[in-house]
Amino acid sequence: LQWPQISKCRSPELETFSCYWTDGNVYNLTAPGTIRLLYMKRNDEDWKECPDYITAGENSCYFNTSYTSIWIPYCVKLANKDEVFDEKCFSVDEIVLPDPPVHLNWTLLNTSQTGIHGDIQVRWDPPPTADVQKGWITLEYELQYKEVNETKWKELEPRLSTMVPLYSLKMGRDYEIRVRSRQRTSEKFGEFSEILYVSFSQAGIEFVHCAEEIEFPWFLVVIFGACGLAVTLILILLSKQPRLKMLIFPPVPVPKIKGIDPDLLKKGKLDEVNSILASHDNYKTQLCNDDLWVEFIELDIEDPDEKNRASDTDRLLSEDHLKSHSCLAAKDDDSGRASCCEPDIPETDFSASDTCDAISDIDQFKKVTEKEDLLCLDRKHNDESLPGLANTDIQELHMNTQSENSQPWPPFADCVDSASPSVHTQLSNQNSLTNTDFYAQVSDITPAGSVVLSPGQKSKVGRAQFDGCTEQNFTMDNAYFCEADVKKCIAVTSHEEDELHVQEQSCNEDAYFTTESLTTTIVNLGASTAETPSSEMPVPDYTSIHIVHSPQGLVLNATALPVPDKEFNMSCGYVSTDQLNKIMP
Amino acid sequence: GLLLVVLLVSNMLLTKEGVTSFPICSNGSVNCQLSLRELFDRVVKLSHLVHFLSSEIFNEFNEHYGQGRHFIARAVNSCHTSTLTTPEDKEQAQQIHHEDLLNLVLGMLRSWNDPLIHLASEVQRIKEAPDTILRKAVEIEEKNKRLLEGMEKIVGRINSGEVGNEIYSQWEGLPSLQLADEDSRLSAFYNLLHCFHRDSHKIDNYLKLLKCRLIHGSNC
Repeated sequence: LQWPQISKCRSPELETFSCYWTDGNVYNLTAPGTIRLLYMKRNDEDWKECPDYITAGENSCYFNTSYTSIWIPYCVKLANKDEVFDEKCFSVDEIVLPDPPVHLNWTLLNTSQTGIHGDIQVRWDPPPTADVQKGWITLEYELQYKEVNETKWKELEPRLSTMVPLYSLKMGRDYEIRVRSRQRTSEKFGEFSEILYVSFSQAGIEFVHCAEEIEFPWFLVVIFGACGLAVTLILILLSKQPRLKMLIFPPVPVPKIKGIDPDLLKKGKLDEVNSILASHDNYKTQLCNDDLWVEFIELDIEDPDEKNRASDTDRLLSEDHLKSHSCLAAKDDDSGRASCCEPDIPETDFSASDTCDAISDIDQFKKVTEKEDLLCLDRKHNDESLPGLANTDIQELHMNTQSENSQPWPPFADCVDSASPSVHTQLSNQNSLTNTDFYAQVSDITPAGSVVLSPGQKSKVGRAQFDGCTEQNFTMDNAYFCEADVKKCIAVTSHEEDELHVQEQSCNEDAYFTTESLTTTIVNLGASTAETPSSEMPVPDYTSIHIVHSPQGLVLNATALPVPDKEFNMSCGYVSTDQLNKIMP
Repeated sequence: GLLLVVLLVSNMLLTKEGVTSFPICSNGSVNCQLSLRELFDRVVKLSHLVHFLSSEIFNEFNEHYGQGRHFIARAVNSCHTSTLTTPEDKEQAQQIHHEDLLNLVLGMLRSWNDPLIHLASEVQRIKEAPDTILRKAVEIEEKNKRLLEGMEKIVGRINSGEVGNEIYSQWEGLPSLQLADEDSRLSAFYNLLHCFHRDSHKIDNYLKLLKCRLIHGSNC
């Protein structure tokens, strides 16, 4: 369903204009010829009818020069008696579409020496309707050409002149040329001119008929270029000039760590490698694997020297102040290896000296074993010592608690590691805990560089004998009590102590343990509503070395180990041989 | 170093022969004078450029602000220069005396000097006016000024010193460019740009006509 429409209005020369319309298929129903085109200039009052329906063809209206005013707005509308079908408004200077140029011709300018290519000059005349001579309208032209059997036209830039040279046409081929024009400030071009055929043979020009044309030998260029490049590269490779070689073939960086000779890695000298690596911050080896456990345990048993050594505890308990603080700076190459095995650095007031002792022991130990490991203290000592501790300590505890006669303490105190050296100093009556080892954790490092240790809390011994502790079956040959178990114990007792924290506070001075950290831990554990908010977590037994600031010291990280409900706790620092044997066939 | 010297010397020699494009001539000096032909060439180039710029800025303005707005330029198109009687077709233009036509062109250029200055300044206050429009507005104003100077020279040359000031149309449209209502303001801009597009085409056509008539003997 298509109504009559004004298809276009066009002025070819800025002097006249015509409008064209389409009938539309609807209109065949009514009588043809009743369509009228009306126009109105800007200053008119009425619509006037088209002056000429004939000159421009069918369905057109032609306005001659007398009816045409440039730069004045027109409106035209297509209508019959009753209704208006279409309306358009414009001014004549906006609708200029020139006629095509005429009289195209070409002349040969020159030919190439081979006779294959030639240049021609194409000329034409402007459309006759356009008054270019008087300058009323200015036209520019666009030429297009192509070979006869091609499909795509090549275009030249629009230009003002009416002649254009075409260079390098192939003499053996025929060409087609066409030109079109537009008003200089418009965008739309008029129609194309007639096509001009260019044929050199018809012009009777002598030329060489080449069946094959010589084109640029790209293929050869590529081949020779590749060969030359290959030869050059080979020469560079073979040359002895290292700088040139580096420039063209930069060496691929191999993995390299500063200060480490890759040969060390190859030979398997892990000691040296680790010593170097440890000097880097944030280095932590991941050495927790089953093999390590096995090896550690095996070596521990096999090494005869260890049995004869004096207990670390002895040295720690001896009040030897001689070690300097700088002792802490020993052996950075120990660092980083104890992630699984947490070193038990004994608590001591003489922190520097004792830790040094501990560390130096470790060194000896390490020298014996090829593996790293480490700061873990000798377990054999603990094996021997702990049961002894259990016996003696239990007695001590009972004595002391009785003496104090304060209710809250006994169950609680029982679970605390009674083997702290401060305890020892307090209890001068006590047996020398010569063969007892005890564990402490590093709670802080003073700015001076000394390590402040706090006692590990729970007594690992004889807990099963006390009330209020959760029932856990301990194999007494399990030299080390898992912190997990101890924690449970503490937790249980802490509940009981909730109400009694006040009394606990008052008992602090009489407390069995005088070390500051110990009391605070007790308080923390016992009083959930204490003034000082405490972490519920009991102070862990084991401390791992977290960072070694070489060579100034160690940063120790208290690890709170998870509490799996197993008889055999893999998360514990140490595994007794019995337990291990149970697990491993 | 030697090459530089050679270039400088050659440049000086060429300059002496008057090959430079824009010799500076003072009034009354006999030796140094732009020929009328050259004046017309420059003036026609400028007028063509000004009309070209006016087309561009008009189209860009339409693209940017004309979406959804129906700028009814045809009906409202009352350009301030419509009071000037200008030839409306080729016959009229051919019949008019060239001096009158020159004066007419000059008058039109003068009438547009003021609106173009205000266009360049007010268009910057349009919200989010694109840079191209701003730049073109400024360039149009500059080129039109130069065109005016060139025309004044030509008219001075042809009319032997008399430059008539009678043909002039005052532009009163500044308040419409400063309206608070954005739609009305943009319509005012549209009208101004459309009027200028048309008038610049007129000026360009008249000058080309005059150039062909006076310089080339109606044989361009």
